[in-house]
Amino acid sequence: MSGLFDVLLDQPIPEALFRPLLFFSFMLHFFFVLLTVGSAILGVTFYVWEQWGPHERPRGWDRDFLSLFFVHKSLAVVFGVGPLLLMQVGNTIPFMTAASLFSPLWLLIIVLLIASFLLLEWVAVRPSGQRWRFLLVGLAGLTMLLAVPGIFVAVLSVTERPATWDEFLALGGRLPRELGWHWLMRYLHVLGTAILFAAAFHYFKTAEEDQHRRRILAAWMAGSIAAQFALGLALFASLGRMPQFLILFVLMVGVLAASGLMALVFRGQASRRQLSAGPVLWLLFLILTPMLLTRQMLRDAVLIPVNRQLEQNAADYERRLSPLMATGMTSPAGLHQPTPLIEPGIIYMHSCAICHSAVGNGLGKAASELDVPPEDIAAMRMSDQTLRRILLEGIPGTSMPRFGFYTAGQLEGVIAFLRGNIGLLAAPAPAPTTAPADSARGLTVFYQTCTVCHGPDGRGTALSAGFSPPPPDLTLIGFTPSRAFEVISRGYPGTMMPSFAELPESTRWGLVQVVSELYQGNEQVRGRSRQ
Amino acid sequence: MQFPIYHIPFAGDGMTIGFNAVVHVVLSHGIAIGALGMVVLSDWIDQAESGRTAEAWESYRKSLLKFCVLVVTTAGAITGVGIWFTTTTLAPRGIASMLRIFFWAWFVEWIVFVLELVGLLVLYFLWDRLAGDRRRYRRLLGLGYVLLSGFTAVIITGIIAFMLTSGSWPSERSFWSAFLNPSYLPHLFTRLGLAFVIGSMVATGFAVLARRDAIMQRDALRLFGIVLGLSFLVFCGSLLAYYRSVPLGFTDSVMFSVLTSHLSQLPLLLILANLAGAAVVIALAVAAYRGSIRWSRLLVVPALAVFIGFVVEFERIREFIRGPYLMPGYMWVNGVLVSETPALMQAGMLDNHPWYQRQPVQHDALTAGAFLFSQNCSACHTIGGLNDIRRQVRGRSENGIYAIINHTHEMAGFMPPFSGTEPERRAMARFLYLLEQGRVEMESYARHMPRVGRSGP
Repeated sequence: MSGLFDVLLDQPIPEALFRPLLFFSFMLHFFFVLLTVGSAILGVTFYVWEQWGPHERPRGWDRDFLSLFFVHKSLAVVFGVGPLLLMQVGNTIPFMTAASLFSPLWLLIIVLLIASFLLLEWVAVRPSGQRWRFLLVGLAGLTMLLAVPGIFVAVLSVTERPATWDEFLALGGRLPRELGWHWLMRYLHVLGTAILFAAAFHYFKTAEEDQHRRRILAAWMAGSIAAQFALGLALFASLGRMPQFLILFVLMVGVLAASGLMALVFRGQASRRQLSAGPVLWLLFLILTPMLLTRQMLRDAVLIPVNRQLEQNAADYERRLSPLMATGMTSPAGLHQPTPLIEPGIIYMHSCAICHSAVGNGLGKAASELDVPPEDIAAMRMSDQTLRRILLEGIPGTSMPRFGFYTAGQLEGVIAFLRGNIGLLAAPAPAPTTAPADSARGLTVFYQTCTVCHGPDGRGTALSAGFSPPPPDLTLIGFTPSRAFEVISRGYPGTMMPSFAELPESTRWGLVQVVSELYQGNEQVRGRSRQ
Repeated sequence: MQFPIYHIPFAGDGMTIGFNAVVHVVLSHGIAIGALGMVVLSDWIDQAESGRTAEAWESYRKSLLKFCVLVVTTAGAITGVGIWFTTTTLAPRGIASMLRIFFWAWFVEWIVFVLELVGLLVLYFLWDRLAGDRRRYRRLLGLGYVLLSGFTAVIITGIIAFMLTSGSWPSERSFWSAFLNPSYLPHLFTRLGLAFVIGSMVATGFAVLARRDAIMQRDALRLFGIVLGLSFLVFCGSLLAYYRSVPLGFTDSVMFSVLTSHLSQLPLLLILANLAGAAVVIALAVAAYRGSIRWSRLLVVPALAVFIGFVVEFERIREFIRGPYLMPGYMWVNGVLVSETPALMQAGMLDNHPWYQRQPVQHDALTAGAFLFSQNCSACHTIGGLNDIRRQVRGRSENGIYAIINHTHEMAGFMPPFSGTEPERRAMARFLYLLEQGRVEMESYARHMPRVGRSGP
């Protein structure tokens, strides 16, 4: 029974376990993201306020805000692994499609995180003084850090809207307008939440008994909640459609909790009393949980049917292709390892026999597809050195490949094989006996006709150097007499070598002798050519 | 093929994934396991409880700890996630498949990461307070951290090893058949050896370069010199065992993977370079063991550079020789399934590729050819960058390119077959021919969309 057995159709985690796990792991991750981002915003803002503000001396608030940045960011990153894993397994195609569509920005996150972490931690532990330098460092770090949730929100927005993928691609990677607005509101909403959570955290953790600082942080909390109401409304409007009742209900719980927190903060400010940790933390929890739940429910409403459809597509695809696998050709090298290419005989069969055939006569199975037919290498003669050069450089203008992907050891094995089994490196064949008259006529024809391309010494001319392929260097490459006769008589298809069948046969044998003597290094032949 | 295609222009996918991964390996193995392991080791072994030597050691340990914690939580963790990010974009089907096969292993890995990080933060923040008679808690916490850190390597190595030796998984399809694969154990010990080589080198460097407490330097050198020597031995021995556990069909391209076609005819160069590098590492181990501060100072940075070079070499070889597979017996490097290829050769890749139709271009022979190149070949070949496909087809006619595409997987064992019909092969050959001739311009090098309407016939 053949089939694709596509692993992507496997579900390693049951649906009932997947969604709660994703929700809780994401909430853990997101909580520390909020603290990280919010503390960075507060830290850099107060750095500016303290260095250039109305105070005589910096009070070090920004250092306190950034003091736990190190811990928060580490926890945010490590907790992020879980939801990333779950998203990629549970919403594979939507999530990974969105990430791919957003490349290279998606990849930039790595660099942005490392750089922003280092820069902001530097600001946190900076020596006093050099305030301009650390302003730049802090701003750079903050900008890079803030870019990251921007990219994540964009990726998640696109993940949740498969209907926009085509438009996204068509726009060359820019968000379509309505999606752009949604993204902006969502992103700002995240930043607002970050400020709220960080302000609350520092209210209780780092401000401690500093009443003045606490009042200011409480003001930040109030301000961020107010902004969240406005942003939340705009975000809700950007959804474009009314969510189901259950989702609305959950959302309202969050809105109510936010209102409650707002009231608590205002009351605290008005009566000049400290906020107590208990109620605030509970309310924050009751804000975060419903909001994240709303988001997940909205996403699931879209993606559960989409995933089901995609699974159906995959199953259809498998059904469509499976019969072709059964009747199709055997899968090339579909084993656990490719054929080892170490034995010279194996390398020859894999790389050379395709064109040159198993016996080297140039009639391999791919030969007919080529413009320049493969050479009958059993009928060629050359030195080791020439052969090595051809194997490494190929023959430009023909389909002879460059075999530089074989190491010296592999090539030496092939050369030995060619010597022993194909006879390529054998001694030159004896020159055919010809009558002196034929030899003389052959030489004359050679000087009159052949030297135009082959040159007087058989090495080619400036003209033929431009041919594709150029003629072979006849002093380095030899032929058996019968092969040379064949090429002279029939020409070499696909090259500039024409057929000389109109010459008398005896003359052609005379030319064969010339070629043979060029290869043998007959000085007499070469010497005469210079006259 | 269910995912859109994105390739890194010029540098290529492999280099990008590889660069991020190597940084991660050096930091996660070398610092998170190795260097922190040295901090913990010296905490356990330290004989002096009080006095100037003890103070010097404490000061040394604290500063090394601080450095390691900063590096690990910043670059170490992010580059780890970075491997995920890069593969999501560049090899989506591969990573998506492996996440499913090894889901619970990765889930457990996540839990261990959390415990490891929390343990490290606790260790760091309580370090000073757990001195004196509460020191044994510090020692135990440190040991617990190192064990957790090592355990993450125990888990992840199973997955990486699977990518080269898939064992009986292709037929059995069970988690354990994938995880307990033939190269797992030697691969694991190679990594653990690697971790402590780098760790002991970093610790040595800290002792002789960053510190000036001569009072503890000699003792530190001796300790770390022993660790360096032993772990380098483990590294080399495991590497040998690893090599022997990998099928011949992969190891036949080990030399080429490092030498590339530029140096493939000079194999001796590679052997000599590696021997020279090993000599530097051994020299440092000897110098440290003998307590020579001067020689250690001279050798520690070159030795570290050399060994990081070994790490790059190791990862490069491992990733390259895996070709033509991403997962042996299941998936080719280009994300097409081994079982899909014969079917696509009849049914056609373009008709069955959801993203071909969705490309916002005029669908003609040229864009078809470009897309086929993109899906089949761009995992390794770029246009105009490293391993430039134009260089590979130079000097060939269109027919010549067409002919060789059918056989590249036979000639070069690390290349997958072309998964398309004859007409598709023609289209791709035509595209490559025109590309090499300079008659096609690319609109996008990342998504391989040719600039339509400007090419010649």
